[in-house]
Amino acid sequence: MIAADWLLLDSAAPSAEEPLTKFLAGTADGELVLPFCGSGHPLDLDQLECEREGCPGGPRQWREVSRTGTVIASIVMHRLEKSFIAATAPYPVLEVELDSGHRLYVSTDRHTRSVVFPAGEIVDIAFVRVGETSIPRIALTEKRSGK
Amino acid sequence: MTARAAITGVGLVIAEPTDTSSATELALRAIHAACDDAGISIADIDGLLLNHNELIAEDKVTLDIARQGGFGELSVLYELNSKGTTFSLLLAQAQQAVDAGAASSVVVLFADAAQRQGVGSGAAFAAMGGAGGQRGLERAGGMLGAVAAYAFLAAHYFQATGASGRDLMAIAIAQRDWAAGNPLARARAVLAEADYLASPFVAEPLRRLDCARPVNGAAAVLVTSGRQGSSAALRVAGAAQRSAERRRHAPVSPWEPIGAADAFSAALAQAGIGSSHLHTLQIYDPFTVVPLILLEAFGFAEPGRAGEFVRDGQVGAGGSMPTNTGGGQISGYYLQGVTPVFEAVTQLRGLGGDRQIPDASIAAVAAIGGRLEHHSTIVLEREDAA
Ligand SMILES: [Zn+2]
Repeated sequence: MIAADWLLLDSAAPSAEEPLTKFLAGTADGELVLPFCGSGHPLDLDQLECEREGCPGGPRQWREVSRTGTVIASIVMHRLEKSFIAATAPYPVLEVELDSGHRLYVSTDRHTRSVVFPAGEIVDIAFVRVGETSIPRIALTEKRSGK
Repeated sequence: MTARAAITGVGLVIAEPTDTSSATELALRAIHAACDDAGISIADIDGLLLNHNELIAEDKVTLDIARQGGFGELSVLYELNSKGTTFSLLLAQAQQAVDAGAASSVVVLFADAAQRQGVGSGAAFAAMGGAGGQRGLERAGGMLGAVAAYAFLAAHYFQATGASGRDLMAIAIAQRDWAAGNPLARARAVLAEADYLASPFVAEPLRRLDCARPVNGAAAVLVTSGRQGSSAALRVAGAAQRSAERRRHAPVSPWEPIGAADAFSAALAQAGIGSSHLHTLQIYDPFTVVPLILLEAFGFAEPGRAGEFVRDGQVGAGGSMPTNTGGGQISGYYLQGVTPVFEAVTQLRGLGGDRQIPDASIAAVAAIGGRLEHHSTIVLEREDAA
């Protein structure tokens, strides 16, 4: 069971149309499913061909990846856009590079008062419910969430 | 049609907040102002290059303006988009068209009426990304608006170079100093460090005073084969573009301005100059972090040292590279790629008033688009100095 979100209103749910169809089908099952070129290089969600020089490419493949990654940068959103945000205090957004090489911008799976995340921190991805979709967030430990 | 093309007329309209004119109405006002400046009439225009505005869904200028305005037959008509670099690059396109004899009076046009009373510009920009695609997924991650994306660029820039918020503040203060001399600037009062530090964070590390000030407005630049205008005629002496869409996976750099330095050096090489020959540099600055990153990319400062360069007064009056001399988009006004172009034109025409750089005859305009993914530099030069 994926919990309802603490951060976003349902109005912020992404469209389940392409190019997010396979990704969101994965998150609904609690999985991260992401695209690779035929030689195993990570691709963006809407990327059809590999950009690496000399890569023979081959058919694009979607597959489940590890939910572990590394924070490569983080910011704190102080402007709380009332049409999309339910939270009433500044919230963190992290750029996480998954072990697969794909990068995601994610917040946390629950409210946290400690909004600063140093680059290099290893994190795991969990999911929250926003509208009809399941959205990746980093999983906070009880200690980190300050509860 | 033997005379070389030159920029001979400009028109800029910045709408007051109470002005409810449509984008097309603003555009026609700007075109007529440019025609007055060049000493021609709208019926003399035979080319229109429209800068596509992808920021807003409604109320935008389209090619219908060719019918809605008092234009005659046109021999050049395009709407083009290269994100924030469009306006700069269209000046070069217009000059080519006139030089080639395809048209004799080409107007380059941009208009934007995205701001509505009672709706914050941040909210308008945050909604803009929409629910679809990668941007829709990012929005569901809490990434609302361009400010969040640029906050990440700033966070990466800090991590990679050791720069800090103090350097953002240096740009904000330096550009405000310039804005004092620009009657069009939205913020002209002296900015003290304490004022900057009291400015609330929007997307930390970026504060409100690190962000551009969007306005409704329109801009028209006329490139003609005649010399009707009363102001000094200008030429595009060099123009170059580089684009590298920032893919969201390793090993792509998550922040570096790939191609910016190449565009800059290629444009200067076309003009036959080095950067020390420039009298002024105008940088597209949606957020303070952008001038810092680009000053370093262009070789004016070592990585992480642009803030020091700015604190040394090098981008200010009397400095080695007077930059964003109208206050930029941050203290001046944000009208996409128009802002840096118009400031360069103002300086080269000698119409900068209190902010005029003495004897300015050659300027570079460095524009960006996307998330520091699209880059252009054009070199503008006074015809009488060429
Ligand atoms: Zn590949």
